[in-house]
Amino acid sequence: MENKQRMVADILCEFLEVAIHLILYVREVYPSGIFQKKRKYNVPVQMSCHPELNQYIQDTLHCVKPLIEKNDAEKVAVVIMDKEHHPVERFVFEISQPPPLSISPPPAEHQVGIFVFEISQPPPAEHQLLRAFILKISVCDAVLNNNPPGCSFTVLVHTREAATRNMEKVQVIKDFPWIVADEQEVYMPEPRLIPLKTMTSDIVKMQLYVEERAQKT
Amino acid sequence: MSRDGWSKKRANAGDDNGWAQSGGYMAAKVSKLQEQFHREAPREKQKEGVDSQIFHGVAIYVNGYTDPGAEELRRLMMLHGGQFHAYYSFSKTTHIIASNLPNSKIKELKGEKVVRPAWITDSVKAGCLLSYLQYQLYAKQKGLNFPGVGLLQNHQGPPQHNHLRSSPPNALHLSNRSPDQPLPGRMPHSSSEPCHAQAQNDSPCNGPKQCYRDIHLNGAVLESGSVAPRPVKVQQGESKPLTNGHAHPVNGALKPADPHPCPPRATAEDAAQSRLKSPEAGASSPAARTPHEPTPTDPYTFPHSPPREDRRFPVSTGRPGAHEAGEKLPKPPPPTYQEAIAATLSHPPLPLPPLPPPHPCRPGSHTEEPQLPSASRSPVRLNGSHRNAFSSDLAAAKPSIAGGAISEFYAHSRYHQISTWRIEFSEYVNELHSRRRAEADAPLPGKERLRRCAPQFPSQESDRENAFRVSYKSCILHVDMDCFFASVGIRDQPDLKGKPVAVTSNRGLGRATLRPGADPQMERQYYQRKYSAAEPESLQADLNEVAGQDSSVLSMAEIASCSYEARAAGIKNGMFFGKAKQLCPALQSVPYDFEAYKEVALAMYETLASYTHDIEALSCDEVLIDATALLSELSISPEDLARAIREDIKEKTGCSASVGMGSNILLARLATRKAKPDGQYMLRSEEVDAFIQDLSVTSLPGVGPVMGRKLSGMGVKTCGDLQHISQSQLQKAFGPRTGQTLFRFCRGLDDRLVRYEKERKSISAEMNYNIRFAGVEEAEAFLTNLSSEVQRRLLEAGQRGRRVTLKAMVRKAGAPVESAKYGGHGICDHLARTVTLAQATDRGQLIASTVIKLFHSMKLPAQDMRGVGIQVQQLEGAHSAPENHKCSIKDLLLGQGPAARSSSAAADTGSERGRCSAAGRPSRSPEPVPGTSRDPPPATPPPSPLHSRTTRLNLSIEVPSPSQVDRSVLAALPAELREQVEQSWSRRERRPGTLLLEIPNQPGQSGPTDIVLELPDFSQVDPDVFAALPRELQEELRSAYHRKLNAQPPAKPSEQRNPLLQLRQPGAGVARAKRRYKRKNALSPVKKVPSPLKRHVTGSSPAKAQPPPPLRSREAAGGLKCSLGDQPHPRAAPTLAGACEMTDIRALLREWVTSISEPMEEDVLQVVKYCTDLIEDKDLEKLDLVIKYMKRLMQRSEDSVWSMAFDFVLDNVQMVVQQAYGSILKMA
Repeated sequence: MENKQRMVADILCEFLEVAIHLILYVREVYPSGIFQKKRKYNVPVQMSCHPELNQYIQDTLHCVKPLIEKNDAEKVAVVIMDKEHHPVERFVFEISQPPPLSISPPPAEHQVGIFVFEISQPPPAEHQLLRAFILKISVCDAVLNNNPPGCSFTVLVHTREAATRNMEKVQVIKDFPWIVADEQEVYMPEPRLIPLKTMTSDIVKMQLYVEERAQKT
Repeated sequence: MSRDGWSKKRANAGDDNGWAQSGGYMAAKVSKLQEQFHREAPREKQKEGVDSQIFHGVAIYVNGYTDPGAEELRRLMMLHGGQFHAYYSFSKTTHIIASNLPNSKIKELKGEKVVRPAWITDSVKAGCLLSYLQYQLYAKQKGLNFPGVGLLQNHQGPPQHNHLRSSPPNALHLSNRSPDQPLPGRMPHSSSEPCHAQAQNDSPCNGPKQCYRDIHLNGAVLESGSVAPRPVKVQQGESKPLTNGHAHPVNGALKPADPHPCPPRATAEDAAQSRLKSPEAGASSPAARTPHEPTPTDPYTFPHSPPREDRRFPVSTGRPGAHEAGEKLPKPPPPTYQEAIAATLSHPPLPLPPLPPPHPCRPGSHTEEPQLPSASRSPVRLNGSHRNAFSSDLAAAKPSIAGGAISEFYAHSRYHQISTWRIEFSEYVNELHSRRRAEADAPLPGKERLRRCAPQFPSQESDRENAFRVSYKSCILHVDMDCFFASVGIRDQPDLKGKPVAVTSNRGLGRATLRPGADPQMERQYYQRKYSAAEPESLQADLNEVAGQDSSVLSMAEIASCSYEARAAGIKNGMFFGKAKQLCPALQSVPYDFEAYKEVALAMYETLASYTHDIEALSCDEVLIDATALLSELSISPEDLARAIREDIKEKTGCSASVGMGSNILLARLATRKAKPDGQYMLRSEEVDAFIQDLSVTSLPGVGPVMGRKLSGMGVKTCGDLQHISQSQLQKAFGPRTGQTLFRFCRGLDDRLVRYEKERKSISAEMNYNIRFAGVEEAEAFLTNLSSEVQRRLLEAGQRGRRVTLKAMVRKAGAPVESAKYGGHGICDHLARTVTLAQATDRGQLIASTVIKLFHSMKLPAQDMRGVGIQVQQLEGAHSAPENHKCSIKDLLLGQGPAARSSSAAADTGSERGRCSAAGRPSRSPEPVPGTSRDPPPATPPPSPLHSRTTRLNLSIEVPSPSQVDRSVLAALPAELREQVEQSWSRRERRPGTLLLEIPNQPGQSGPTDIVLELPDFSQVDPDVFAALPRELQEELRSAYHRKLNAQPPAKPSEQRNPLLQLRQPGAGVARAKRRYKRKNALSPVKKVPSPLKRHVTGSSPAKAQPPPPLRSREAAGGLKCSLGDQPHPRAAPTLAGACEMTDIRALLREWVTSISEPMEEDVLQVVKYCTDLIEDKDLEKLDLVIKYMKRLMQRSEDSVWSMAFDFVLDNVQMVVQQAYGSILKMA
């Protein structure tokens, strides 16, 4: 179980890194010049080559990982904020445990799969599912309104119950602590929800939706 | 061997006279060397003054280092008329001389005779050509492994000393074989044709043909030894008796059991021969012979080979492979059933895990089955791996045998038998209990007797008894037979009483030859290193001595049990016999006698059962008794009871038992230690502390060598030491349970109860003896066989398991290929992998396919496999499940008897579903539903037996995925079955599922019921497949499709239908749907019908039965999916009318919107409910798609009602989304 969660966290954090870069690119938070086309999950993605940005994202995810491992993170949100630091868009990755029996996911397969390996092999199946997320993100600008200029971003983690209390202990990087988000950073007037993608695999269930402020300007 | 393939070829091509040819360098060189040899030979002979032709016809090739060296051997060959080849020639070299060969060369050696150099020297010494068989470097032949059996059978009088008893192995071979395979015409001739007899004797396992062949190959002996030019004749005076001596024991041994009419004559002659022979033999090699001065009256003692043989007896006796394999047998007769079984039997029994000390014993020493033909003809490869027995023999034999091989094996495996006895006795105790319940208060004879005697006791020991009463709330007796096997073994041999006796399979002197490739030294070192000299005494065999004796090592047959006299000499159970023999040269070995064990054990159990039924069977000779109730009832002291029990056992079984008593199981067991031998001991609570203080930790039950080592690493040697360690520390080191147990045990605390019923946690079958696979196929075949053994055990135990574990022992990299112990596993890595099945199973096939998959996934090298085990865990009783699990697909489809039950894997679901729908259906839809649930007969042959059946049949067959199926098997299936399997695959391409065959029950309808299989859409039918079907089947299919077409219209209301509703309750709901259509058609929307929402909820609840799949073409596909998809599932994905996939939902919505003019409220609510479910299920993506699709559909519709309906849905959805996410969906 622990191993499985660790594997889930590894897979998700790897994915989140790619996703965050891509969101930043697609939503034009940073100039497209700092992005480079790379290949991940067998699809082209845009990855920043700005070292500080990359470091920030990596550090953030490094801190997210233990939360996911413990299944404490309910949502990981990439929040795009305007100049006043009011959120205009939120890309929310909602992570949950797969339904109990879905070690063999859909019931039919459950019937057929004569047995299920105890050690499930992560990559191919999950990668395929994650690729769909990436593709959705790259086209999400079609359903979103343009953001006002001068946006920045931050990463929020919605923890389950009392996870924050333990946060101090699990602080991975000393000078990179989690802080409780301001109300200002969280509150979004008249949010609109745009579901992007949902996946259910053996080991994790995740959906991505965007919350958008109705009036962006 | 051949250093030059080309020359080999040439040599092969050439005729016997090889030197004349000279083509190419090698050929020239070879022939030149030969010439040299021939030139030198006479000179040498002259020089030495000998001119013998011992080795005429023998051409040797010396490979590698030998002692004496190649030069010396060459000289000897020159002197004695043989040939010496400097280069190996396949066709001309008759023997390869070597002391050691690398593995690669061994592999190349197919049929060549590889002989140790001693053969030459001994032959020279003996003055005649000896049989090379005793000198073979590699034993390729298995079998003939009943040393001592025939002998002991024949032996009526007290046995001679050890040597004698084990001396004539050949005799035994023949005696074993004779009942089933009399040697036609051989016996009468044996004296006049000594050579034959010898050959026969040498290769007793081979048929007559083989015998002749050996003779030719040996070149020394030819038909009857009378062929003039043969040198044998020259020395006949000497050699004849010798060979006769060889043959002699054969006849002697045969005598008692010989089916031949003429044994008396033969023996008479033999006796004469032996008398004749002995002086000569003595003359030829006096020094060596003397120890076995033969007595003519006792043919058994007759030495049959030169001196060195004596020491090597164990080789030929204990080792199955000591004889040349029948490798060149031109065409072995197909093995008969018996032979095949015998081949399996000649597999060594293996140690089974449950047996306290594993004593893997020597192969083939099946002392208990002397009547078996030693089917040693089975060409067993190097070291007699199991391979041949399973592959060649069994493959050649009837297929059923192959399948039953392992079960046959287990049926005859001694250790297996013993280990199962415990279960048997447990069951025996269970039975006692149930009988007791039934008979209420049947008197227990033993108890009654005690009761009668009881008054005597208290008067004697009333004080103690009172003390007991006070101090003991409970009293457990632990009854243990004293050195069970040994005492049973000598119970009928009074002369052995008081002597050191060991029960073991080794009959000889505790020696065996070192097999090539084996490296016992290395293995010992390995274990020594591993255990860091934790058990020095058992492992420190005298390596030096071993090394000193060429290719002869201490016997590694383990001692299963030894008498107390032997124990006094330092011998322990589980010790290797060879080592034991060194410790105690007077040690007598006693063979296994399993019948007697069983008899004695049963007698013991019966005795105990006459006192009380509170018995727990620990093993065949070990019992726990909860005597609390008995003692208080009879008011006697435990010691009186113990005494009575012991006397009773001794009287009934002739063997002594020891009884330990204590207030709990642990103390009782510990007390037994002190009680032994033949005593009783009461461990009183006040003594416990002092007693346990100095007890070694390893004497605690459950503390084995491993834990002992771990503890000693912690500085703990005795229980006293252990008491100083805190519980938490122990739990940390050994895990919570074991830690706690240790903590309690070392204080003499034990709260286990005597349980007469034991639940099994796992069922397994394991073999780690004699596992040598040549390839993957063999491994697979073996796994399959082992699986069926597991199946057998599961069925026996009435259990099914969900978890299947494959355990493998793989030769450790760098470990010697051949283990020190014959057929043993050597140094291994232990690997295991587990899978969980979808359902508990007891089907061997399923287990087999599972473990084979595991086997492949573990990527194990088949050649290096040394042990295989299959374990099934997570057992659940199979009692509730249908009995017959063996029904094949065919059975099911043909509707034979077994078809009445579900096939095992899907049985539970199947029957449950069957029950539910049978229960639910009549109430809901009393009227039959034509056309839907009863569709045209499908691609199965008309199931005639089913026509009369009125019960509902619900058959669900697991169809393995295409990749799992052997194409050839598939091809062998009847066409219709094949087609069906293929069909199910093609269906699975879209959605994997089980192939569900349902025979719906038609209440109130006695008409014929057909197996209903959904038919694929006609367009989906592959014309080729169709054409390939048998004619009648084609016809049937055609008519089925025809009927389907006809049947469809009535089922389909011509007017608008409500697909949503119809699909929501496919099958079972159809009737209702129809009713609803009627209502709709009657335009009575006001009428209240059950809310679809509600019904949806109930419909999707897992407890509810799934309706049978609707069997209509396109919708059927969808419908089928729903029904399959809706297997009971704790948290199923939200479905809309059973549809889960987006495409289905789209189709459903489209049909709903397009075919109905006005949406019904409940349908709308159902959609809302579905959307809400999606939100709850955090599947916003799908929700989004659904909403968008509805939006497009409904707003496009001219009817504003649809727009309103959509708005209604959307509003509701937005509300829920708002609640869940704090935001609403963005609607572009």
